[in-house]
Amino acid sequence: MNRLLPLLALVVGSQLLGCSETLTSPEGPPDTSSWLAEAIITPSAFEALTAANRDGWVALHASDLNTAVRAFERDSTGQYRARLARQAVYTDLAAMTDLAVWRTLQVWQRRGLPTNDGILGVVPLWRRCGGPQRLPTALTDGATIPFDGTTVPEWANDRIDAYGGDVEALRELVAVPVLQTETRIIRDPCGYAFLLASDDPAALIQTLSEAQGLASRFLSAMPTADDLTRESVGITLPGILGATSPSLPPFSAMDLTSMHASVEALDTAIDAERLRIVQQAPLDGVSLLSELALAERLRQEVLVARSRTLMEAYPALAGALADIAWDATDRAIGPKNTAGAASARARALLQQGRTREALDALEPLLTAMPESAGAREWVADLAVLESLDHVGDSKEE
Amino acid sequence: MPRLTLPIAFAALALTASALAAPLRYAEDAAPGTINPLFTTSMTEARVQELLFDSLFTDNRSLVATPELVQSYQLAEDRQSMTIDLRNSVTWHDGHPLTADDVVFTIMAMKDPATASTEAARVSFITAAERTGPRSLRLTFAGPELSPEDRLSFKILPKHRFSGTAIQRGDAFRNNPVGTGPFKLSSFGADGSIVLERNAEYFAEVDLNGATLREVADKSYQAKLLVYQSLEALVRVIPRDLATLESDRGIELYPYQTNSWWYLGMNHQGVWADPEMRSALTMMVNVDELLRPIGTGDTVTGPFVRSSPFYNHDVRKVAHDPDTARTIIATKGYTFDGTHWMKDGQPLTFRLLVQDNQEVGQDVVIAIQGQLQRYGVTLEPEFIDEAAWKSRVWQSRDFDLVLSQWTFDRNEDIYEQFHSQGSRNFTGYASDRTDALLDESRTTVDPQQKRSLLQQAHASISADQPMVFLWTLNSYAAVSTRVRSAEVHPFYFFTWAQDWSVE
Repeated sequence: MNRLLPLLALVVGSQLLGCSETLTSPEGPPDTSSWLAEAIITPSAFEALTAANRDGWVALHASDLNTAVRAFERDSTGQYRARLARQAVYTDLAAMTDLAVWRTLQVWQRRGLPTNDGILGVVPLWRRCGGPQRLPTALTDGATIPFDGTTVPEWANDRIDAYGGDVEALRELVAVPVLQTETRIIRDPCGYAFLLASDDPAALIQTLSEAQGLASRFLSAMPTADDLTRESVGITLPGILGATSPSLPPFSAMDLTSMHASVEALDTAIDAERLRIVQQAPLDGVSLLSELALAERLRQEVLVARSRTLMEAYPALAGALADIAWDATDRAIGPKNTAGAASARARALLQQGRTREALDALEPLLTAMPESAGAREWVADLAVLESLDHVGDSKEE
Repeated sequence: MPRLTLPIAFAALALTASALAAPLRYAEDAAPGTINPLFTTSMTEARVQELLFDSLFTDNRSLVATPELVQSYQLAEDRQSMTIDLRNSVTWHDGHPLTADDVVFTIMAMKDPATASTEAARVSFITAAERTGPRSLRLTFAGPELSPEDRLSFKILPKHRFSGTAIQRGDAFRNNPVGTGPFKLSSFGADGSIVLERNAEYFAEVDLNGATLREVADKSYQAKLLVYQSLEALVRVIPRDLATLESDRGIELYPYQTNSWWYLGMNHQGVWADPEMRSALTMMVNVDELLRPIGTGDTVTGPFVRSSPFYNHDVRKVAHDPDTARTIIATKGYTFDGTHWMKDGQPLTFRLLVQDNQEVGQDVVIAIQGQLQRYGVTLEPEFIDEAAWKSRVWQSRDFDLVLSQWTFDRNEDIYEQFHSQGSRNFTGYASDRTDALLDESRTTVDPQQKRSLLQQAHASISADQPMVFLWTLNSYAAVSTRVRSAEVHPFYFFTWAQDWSVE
């Protein structure tokens, strides 16, 4: 998304030519309240940040979250940031797994599919991590859980032991089937939920809000320190931190038209901030703004955070927001498209019943976060189950 | 103001607003060859038919089958039959009322061998359709159906516009269609443009004030027309134009047709009946090199996109290996004269058919031609229009190679393309193993077994190389933000278009 580049080029060009009075730097010390401004207007702040742990910030910028967590081993703020970003993805994957398990069980029962090869063990295992309780009430509508039972099968015990163990070990295990026989593969319905529980997001958020400084907000949905402080109060889910940052235009979209108006207001605000920054920043700072696509990153982070706040009550709006946030020019997870943007898109699609499309949205995540394969497989089975009665159509384009 | 004039004034205002509302203008690479749903083979046709015709059931926004022409229905206890009552307020665009006879007629026409409908497979599960009243009917199925609503999404045709169920492809209906849909045909111009007007008699509210299809073969020109607000929608953006459209705040990109892939198809009636020759061709074509200038996309090793539940990730891509290809060709009696492979005094030459509206296709053909020329094989491309394509590819099978792309809905059912009895299998590929896997995949209701069977089918088809599997592109539609409430169906695009409006 380089929609601001023409404007930027105009501004920089005018600065170089010295032809515009309105674009000259204002008097007084530069205002650096947003992380965007702080990093660009004061390159020394950015240099200090990256000097402390260049690999970590490069990985976070590329949304290579597992690498970032490892690289920030000795940098607590940086590591909290990386872990929080990863937890946001796990939040989506856990929600997707819960939904997929629930719908799979429903269809499995309705179709009278075989229950002698493992499916009966899913519910007791799923209950272990509170899966049924996490489902949106509107979705379940008081329906009973098919194949409900309380006895955790013997084959699930190893996995349950792992839930209490090392986070990294569990991360590697989460995509591995809990049961694999000749006719059936049972995936872990709880892995992401336990990954979330093993690294309490609320504690991460609280610690970050106390840390302050550029590192606590750089590349996040929270432009200012005040946003972080005010938002962190009461927020326990990592994926929505920054959604209502007071420094940004308020968001009140409950239909597609209002949502577009809200996005336009956000774009206008980011444009204004970008213009302000370009007016005050040294040329190397302006280059940085463009090369790292930092304004675009702020926009994506905010839109994705806002998308997650709508996820349960307004999944279609959440999906539309996540689509707007996604940069269509690049399919891979990287600086243009974060892992969190991919998982939010996929989750919104699944919430809307668009299971096969959710699978497509999940695809880029598989390379960046191989542990997402567990959720992917639940969704893939569900996509097949839901289309069994449908007559396929195909055409030449 | 007299009391009665106020409602009249409001009505007048509403009419004025309606008259001022703009129609949706969208671009297709080519005008549809037919608007008769019995003979649909291309997405261009399917999309415009979505605006003109209705089905018994259609997808709601959660892609759940929902009654459209159906008022009520009941499935028999044994699930082998279903009674249907139609809506009683539906009229055809020419004013005739919709009746049960129309539904029965449509099913019989699709099944009539003399019609040779490309859509016949969609009603193969129905063994009988009988009228039980003016607007009620009974359908009988070949076996128990858990959710027949999901299968009753074919378009319904007006019986009174045909003389019988044996319908010819060239019937006048193909460019003079009459449906019950939210829009009706206003004109089908000689320039390929189609103007649809709002169906004021439609049984539900229609917000969109008409639609216009414009035939624009040049994709870059399509993008410019959208940017300059001469169009409101592009159904398919090529990767090269994504950056331009992404940077325009007046345009929104929607993922669309993500289940589609490109291929170089071989006619198995000729030299390509020999699997070794097919393999040689595959080894001569450098797919990565072809894809690079087109933009973002993923190469595929078989008949599914990489995100498909059926994609077999264990199948390895055939390596670009011209040396082995040369060895194979030599064993087939060809000799290399330094420039060409020759046999019986004739150079090894193939005719490649491409539709002349495929801008990307033309670039790819030129690149393939260059690649094969390097290895002594002559490629003679023929750029032909859609009608000639249908005739030569689908009917007379008069081609050596074709370059095209298949698009699938969420089922990704490849039976019609790769089963020896498949209605879309124009390459003539036949494999007992693939047939068995596809047959079994159609009958199983276990999702994991179905995935396993189709992953095996992927491997089997890939090993046989009935075509060179190319790639799936980063696939988006682009819609102006002046279009309100735009939601795009992942396959048919316009399923919910009556709720759109243009500012």
